[in-house]
Amino acid sequence: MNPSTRITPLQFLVLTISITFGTSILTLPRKLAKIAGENMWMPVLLGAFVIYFSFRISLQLAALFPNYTSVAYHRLLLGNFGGTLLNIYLLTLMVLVTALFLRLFVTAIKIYLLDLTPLIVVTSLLTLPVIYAAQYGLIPVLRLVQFIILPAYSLFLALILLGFLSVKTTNYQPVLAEGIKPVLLGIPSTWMSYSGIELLIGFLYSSITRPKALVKFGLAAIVIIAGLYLLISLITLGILGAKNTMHILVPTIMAYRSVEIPDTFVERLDGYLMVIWIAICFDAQIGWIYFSSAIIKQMFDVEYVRPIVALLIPIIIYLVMLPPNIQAIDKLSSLVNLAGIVWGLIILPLLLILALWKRKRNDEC
Amino acid sequence: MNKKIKPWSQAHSAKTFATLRNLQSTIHHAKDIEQDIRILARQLKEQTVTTQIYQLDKNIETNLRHLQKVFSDGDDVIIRRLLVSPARQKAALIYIEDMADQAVINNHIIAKLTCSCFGVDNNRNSDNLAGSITNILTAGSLTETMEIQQAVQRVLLGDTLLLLDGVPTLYIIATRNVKLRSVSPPDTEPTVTGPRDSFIEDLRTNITLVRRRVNNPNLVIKKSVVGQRSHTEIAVTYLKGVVNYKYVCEVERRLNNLQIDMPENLAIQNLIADHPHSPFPTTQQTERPDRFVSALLKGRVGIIIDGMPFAVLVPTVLSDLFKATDDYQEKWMTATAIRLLRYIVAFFALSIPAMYIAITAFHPAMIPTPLALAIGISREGVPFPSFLEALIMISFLEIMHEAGIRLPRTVGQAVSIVGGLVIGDATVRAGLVSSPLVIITSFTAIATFSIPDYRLALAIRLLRMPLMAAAASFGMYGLMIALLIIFIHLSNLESFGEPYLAPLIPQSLLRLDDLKDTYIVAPTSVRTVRPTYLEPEDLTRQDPTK
Repeated sequence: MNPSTRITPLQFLVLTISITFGTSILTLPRKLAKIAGENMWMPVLLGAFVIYFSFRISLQLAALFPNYTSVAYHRLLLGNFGGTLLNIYLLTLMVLVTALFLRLFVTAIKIYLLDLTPLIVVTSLLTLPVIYAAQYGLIPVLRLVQFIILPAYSLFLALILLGFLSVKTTNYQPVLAEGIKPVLLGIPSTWMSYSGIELLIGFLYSSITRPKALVKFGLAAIVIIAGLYLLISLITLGILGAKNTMHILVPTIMAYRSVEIPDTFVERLDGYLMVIWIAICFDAQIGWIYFSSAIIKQMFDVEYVRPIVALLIPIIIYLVMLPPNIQAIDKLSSLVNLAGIVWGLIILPLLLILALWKRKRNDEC
Repeated sequence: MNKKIKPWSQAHSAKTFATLRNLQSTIHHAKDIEQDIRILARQLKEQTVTTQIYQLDKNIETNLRHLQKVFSDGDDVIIRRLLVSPARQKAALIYIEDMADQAVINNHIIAKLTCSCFGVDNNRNSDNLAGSITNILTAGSLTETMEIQQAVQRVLLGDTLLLLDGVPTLYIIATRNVKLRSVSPPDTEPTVTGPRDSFIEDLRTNITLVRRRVNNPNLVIKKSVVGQRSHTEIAVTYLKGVVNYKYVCEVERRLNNLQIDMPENLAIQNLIADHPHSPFPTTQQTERPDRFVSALLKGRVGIIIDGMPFAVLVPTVLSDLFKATDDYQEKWMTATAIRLLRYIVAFFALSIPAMYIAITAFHPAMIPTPLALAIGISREGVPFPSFLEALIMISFLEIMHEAGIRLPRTVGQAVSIVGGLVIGDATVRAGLVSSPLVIITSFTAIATFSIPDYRLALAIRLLRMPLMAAAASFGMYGLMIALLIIFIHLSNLESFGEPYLAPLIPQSLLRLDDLKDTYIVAPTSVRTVRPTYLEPEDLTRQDPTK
């Protein structure tokens, strides 16, 4: 990270929200409806607590190395070889998350907006501008994310709240009919929807202007994201019901397609939601691609990130095109979700224990 | 006889013709050479004379000869020889005919120098005269210099040069009297309730307009010259104690680095801009002294250029281009509503034709069914796809806009009528375009005119076309991606080190004060600090406790 690149906690908050809240809004209700049925909104809430736990561990670990990024302190903790392996794991995870989100996004775009356009064209259109965005490093990327987030999220929130007009309260019943078990089983499925903050913090901690404020801002980011997911889950469930939600490929869009606001200019919301969602998704993708490239930049000690972005994007496009159908995407999604959980709930705590042990040993010496 | 003559004459006539042809060719060639030599001789004779090659001499004739060469023997450069009474010492005045005040020269210089009523010592030598010259002349300002370059520069601005025989010094007398238009109401930045004066083409008048508003000795006006041949005078203006000196140094560095004959049309703003290839202006032009002063008080740097009725303000961020003078004259609530309206309208001016194309060609379901049907019915019979239809109308609009600027005002009205008829009625009746598109085009035109900054409006006009092409290719998806590319571009832009989107995207919660004069116009009592992104030396604009 360039020492002159300083990020304020506010920018960290914005970056976290934009990276995390990308594509999952489309698929999360379907996954959760399959597991938790009418109580699908509960795992959303509980998932937020789990990610907060992972965020705190990541934050504590990063605080032990205030002048290093995660790429550097992995090497310090595990040695050059072990650190590099861990960095490759992290990089692979991030690239796969990017590709997976992107695939879900372009699939939805193809179904609902551009049914005749080849998938590769839709994907390339969204990814290629990232090369231009990464031209001058992180700060312009941050500016872009900040510039988009306010209008895009305001409109998005206004649109999703309109969904309450078509909600049927009977769809929320019965509550906990099958006990708490399905709710608890649904929590792991929310991981990918919340993933982002625990990956970012290690990488950005050394650049934050007021690291002490990160707990507050990180919590605020998780609360905002959880609030948005909760709203979407509740509305989708309320409009479609659990049975319909679990059988529709992109239930959120379908739910909003059935929202009708008669005697107004906006008759159907799904089109507007999709359009705003393009900006939100681009905001998320730019973050994922940029940080994946920044990890490579640090691993290989390259001066500029832009050529790496230019090289990474064709690989991402290739990965996006790789799954032949939605079943393959679901399988890959489960795998990536598991890899993310392993990172957040196993590797990070182990690294923290190792770092604390090493520090204690050094103090004793 | 004939037999002998015939072959001779034939042979000789052929030879003669050949010789004549050669001769003719030689003459042409000689003429060309003569022409070339003449041009060369002229060039040698009139080669550029620089002031550096001459030194001041005691002998007035030598000095006059040198100065005549420096001024290229120009007909408008007047050299008036005279004998200073009563010692009858040789003297000469040099000035430019229409730029110097003839009355001052006659009454305060020539009359005084030739008048014997001062009782000057008859035996005085040249040193005595040089010593008392400040007392003899009654003109307002008199400067002594040993540098020919400085003296020549002042003469070119309208001052008069006095040379005395035996004195190796030049006296510059202020006689500037350049004919100027009077200060008039601003043409491009009109206001309802604001001041009615605007900058004119004279640097000194413009500085006066600024100084009249800021009665503060900390208002710094640093004059310098740009343009290696034009020697255009400019004034870098800032408020000491408020401005961050990094901007002053950067402005001066960029101006000093200009290696140019003359700023083309005096467009300094393009020469010092950070991103010359961007359609968005990263410097701000204003013809309003009140706006100029307001910017200085916020900690920005102003550049006034001689010969330009516009001053340049830097650094410039996007939100600066949405501000108008009236915003601060009105109540804050109405001003805020108008400011917000400008942002929304600018967005629509950029994207509404593209939206029309995307919706009609790709996503008719996005609009209510009756409206979609109405558009569909009105498009029935239109032979063009919606993109081409919109392209025709927007092109019409742009042509009319351009013609409106270029045409004389008397003809302008006729163009408006013809344009209104053609665009508004005839094209629809002819079935070339649909009537909803006429409404879209009219709205686009009005929206463009409501953008306060002309150069920003130009950028929006330019970017409208690529957006339309993107919408025609990929519908709303293409439009959004194209808009996002524009946003990426805006994020990459900087003006004198400041992000172009600076106050619109606050870096931290500590900088939220900047938002009080960006999207909204907060009440004056609340706007207690200057913009923090400009890092002014004195952040406080008003003490809220008093």
